[in-house]
Amino acid sequence: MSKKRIIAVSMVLAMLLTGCGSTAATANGTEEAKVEQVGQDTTSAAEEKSSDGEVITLTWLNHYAEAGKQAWVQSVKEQFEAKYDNVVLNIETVDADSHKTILQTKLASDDAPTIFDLSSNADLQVYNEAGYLADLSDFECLANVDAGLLKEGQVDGKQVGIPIELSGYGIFYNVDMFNEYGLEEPTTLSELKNVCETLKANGITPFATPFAEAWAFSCYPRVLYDAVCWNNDGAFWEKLADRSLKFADCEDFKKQMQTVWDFHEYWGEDAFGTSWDSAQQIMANGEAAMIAHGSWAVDGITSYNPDINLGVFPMPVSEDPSECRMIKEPGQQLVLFNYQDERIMEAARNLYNLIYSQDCMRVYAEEAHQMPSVPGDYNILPALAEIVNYPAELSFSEAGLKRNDPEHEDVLFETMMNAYTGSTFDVNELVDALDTAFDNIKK
Amino acid sequence: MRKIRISSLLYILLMLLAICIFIMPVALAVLTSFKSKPELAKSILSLPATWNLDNYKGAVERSDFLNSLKNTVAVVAPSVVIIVLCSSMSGYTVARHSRDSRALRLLDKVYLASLMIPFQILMIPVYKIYKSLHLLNTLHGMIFMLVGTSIAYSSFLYVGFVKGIPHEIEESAYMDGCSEFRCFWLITFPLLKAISATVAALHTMWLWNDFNIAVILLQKENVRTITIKQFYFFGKYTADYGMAFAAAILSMIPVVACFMFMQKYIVNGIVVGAVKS
Repeated sequence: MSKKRIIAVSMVLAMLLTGCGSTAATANGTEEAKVEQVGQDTTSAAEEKSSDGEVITLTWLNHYAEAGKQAWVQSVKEQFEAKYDNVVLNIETVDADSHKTILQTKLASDDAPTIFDLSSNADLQVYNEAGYLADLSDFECLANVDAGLLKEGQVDGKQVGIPIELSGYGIFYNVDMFNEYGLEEPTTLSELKNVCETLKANGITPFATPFAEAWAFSCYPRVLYDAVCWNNDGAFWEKLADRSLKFADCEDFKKQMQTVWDFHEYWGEDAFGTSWDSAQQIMANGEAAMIAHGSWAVDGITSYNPDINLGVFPMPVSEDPSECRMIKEPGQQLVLFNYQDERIMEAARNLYNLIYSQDCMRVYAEEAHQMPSVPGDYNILPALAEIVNYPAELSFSEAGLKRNDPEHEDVLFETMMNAYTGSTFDVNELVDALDTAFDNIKK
Repeated sequence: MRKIRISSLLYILLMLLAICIFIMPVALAVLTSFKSKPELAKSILSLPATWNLDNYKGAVERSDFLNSLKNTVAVVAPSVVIIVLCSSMSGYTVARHSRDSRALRLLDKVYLASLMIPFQILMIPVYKIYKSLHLLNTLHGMIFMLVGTSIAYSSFLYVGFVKGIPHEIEESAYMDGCSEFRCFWLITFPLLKAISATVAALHTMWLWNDFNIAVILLQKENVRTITIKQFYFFGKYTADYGMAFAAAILSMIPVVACFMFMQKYIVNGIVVGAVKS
């Protein structure tokens, strides 16, 4: 009996030790990533030896499922392998929803991809702290990238990520429809109101509103409060998160939130039942004339109606046209795993030089319909060209500024959606609810 | 007489309504698979202007359909055979001998407990083990995992079914000098036809549609299965529903055919396996 007990206790202990043995990143949380992964088997994923020489294999984990982006990735692979005989670029494309899980599983299993993408500076900080990211500060390709965007990839003075694209936020509109009704791009709230009234009188829904999805809803208030509050104070979200600033004390924020509601009569019939896909279709059909969204809307709407003529203007925020701001944000960033092997770093450096070249970015701009981070004379969609060329003094670049972390962001949008879903709206109730929610997070 | 006719009519009408409700999603999927994106934007319910096969061509090309179909068949077919063989033996053993063996009773509980562990919890250890054994991105590695994660439930089904088969049949075989193994293969296994068909059909369907395991273990293009290729039509912000539905319909055909072929056994097997006689 005692033997059996000893065996049972040993088995339980063995299982516990096995379970606790790895403190590496778990599948669903960047926060759990631990530094100790670095240095363990760091060459396995990136290196292979062939019998007749040494072949270096680099792995690029991405979530670029769109046909245009896949064409770009494929062209990078072909050009890279054609230029360097001893290097193989292995492409691993996964769906956007599983990307983070797979990345963290690989990192936790000592099978890190050589390059992968992260979406924000906050992510860079977490992965950099865990020791996963290589310093790219001396990479030659940095000279090709828009200097303003590079700030987003910097952590503790090091360049650990390089944005591949620029995103823009504003009001995307049907230019032909505006011309048909003699409308011009509004620069003040009263002008925007007149535009909406004219469209409504002609049976057109002024705004397509994909509010069934929180992320898509967030673009709508964002074009207001980011253009005013964050533009005026770069530490706006930081102060709100550490509670040194209260929503209730931000008159500008309250004003912008009231503006969101003031235009609710121009939303579609079922704003909170409309998905992002439906909103694109409504725009493509000509049922709605405008949508407050990110620049990817251009590609999405155009794919449903290739003949649509889309334009973009910054959301008016007051009666003063000079306060309008086109919002520009660095998009996905390519990061390099922190290999300790010079040969791999050299191969990766060559890959970065290729990716961030104008020739390569031309494919990204023209086939994937994106705004590349490398400036150049590309043939991109007109609305995207407008964003790229929008005067700097009338633009607000979010590069390098600290935004909300996902926890605060979720609470922010959830609370806002609750406030706007009803038939009445009280801005003071909204800011009180936001302050309570942010206070609860801090506790 | 008149009352019977009205009730029959009502019954038929209700059945027709139910059929329409159940067929609607499939019909919408088929319609969508023939529509261009501009047509989709106009109306989801309308008929396509022309029944062109562009979406099907695009889906086959973009998802490398034939290769992924081949991979899926290569993974699912042997997995289902192994699952049926192993779980029928394990279910038989547990059902017949658990009364005399504490270890088998424990095994039965372990099977049950393992059904409650989601794959997400096993993901990192499995990935590490597979990497060290060089089983990542291999179809046989995928088969091991699919079999391993399916055995518990299918054995559980077999246990219930075997308990319903009278002992006496096997006892007469033993009296004629049959060994236990021969008795299982020659006497008992043929009697398990209904539950074996159920297990085979259900697992064909589940393994065909598996995404969670395949997305972790099969990351190279040439070994990917059909379900993993589905996401090629869904970008971060955009979706190509026409092609996605075309690919889904193509991938549905083999599994629907299998299900229809085995339908009569499935219901029988589930009912008998679930009820202890």
